[in-house]
Amino acid sequence: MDDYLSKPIHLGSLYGALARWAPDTKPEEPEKPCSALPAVDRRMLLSRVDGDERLLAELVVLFGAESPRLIGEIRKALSTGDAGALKDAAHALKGSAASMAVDGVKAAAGILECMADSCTLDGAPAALVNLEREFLRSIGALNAMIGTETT
Amino acid sequence: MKILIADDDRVLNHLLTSRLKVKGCEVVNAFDAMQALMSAMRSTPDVILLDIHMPGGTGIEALKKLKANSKTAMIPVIVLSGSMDPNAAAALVCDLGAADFIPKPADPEAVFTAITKALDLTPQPV
Repeated sequence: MDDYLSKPIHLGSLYGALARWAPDTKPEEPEKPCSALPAVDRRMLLSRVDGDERLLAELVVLFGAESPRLIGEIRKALSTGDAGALKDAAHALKGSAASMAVDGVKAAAGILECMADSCTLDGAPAALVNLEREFLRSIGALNAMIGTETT
Repeated sequence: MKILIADDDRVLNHLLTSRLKVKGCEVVNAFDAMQALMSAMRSTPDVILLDIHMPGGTGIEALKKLKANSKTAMIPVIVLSGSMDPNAAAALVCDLGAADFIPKPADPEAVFTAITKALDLTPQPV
């Protein structure tokens, strides 16, 4: 056995494994599978905050502030070719996205983390564009959600 | 009971802080491995929640240091991670003295259950 992926299979892990073993294989249009995911899993997120609307609003504000900072770190790491910094920032954003139940951002950040882990950054600029798109889609849904939940 | 949450994910840190405070816990926060070690020494929490992937040194290194220090060795440590295979991570950290392992994204109720289990307490109604 050369490698393994634990189930459930995540797109980011799959792309990372493909990048490790078939370096010419690029996730040419990663935005398609990511955008197929719901912008936010409302039920999961409401369960995590136990229905606390004030906490939900605080988390949305925090995620809305932290994510652009981390995307900025990813952009900077890409411009300097710093795979370690790219991995750290992508991993951090993936974690926050998972906590917020925004799986499109989680998957997009996971793709960048795997690319950094395997030092195959050819497709990273396109993956960053996809991540930015997923973040905008998710933060829009989250803001709409707290508007809905707090009125 | 006093809980130290050591995780650089500010979203998860805030989520767990708020939910644990509702349960009546006192919470101390750390956002990197060095802060985690300093807070553990200074505030002597009843339980430590420790992320594996943090700036300033890994949670694994922090766990080893906590267990090697007589002042913190007896504090139950619950390790959180979303970057490792859950079974492998659980085996690794428990070998190093952790009380439990919770894969991310960490569900606050699962975290509270693990805390009470680590303290050998029965969860109390809020």
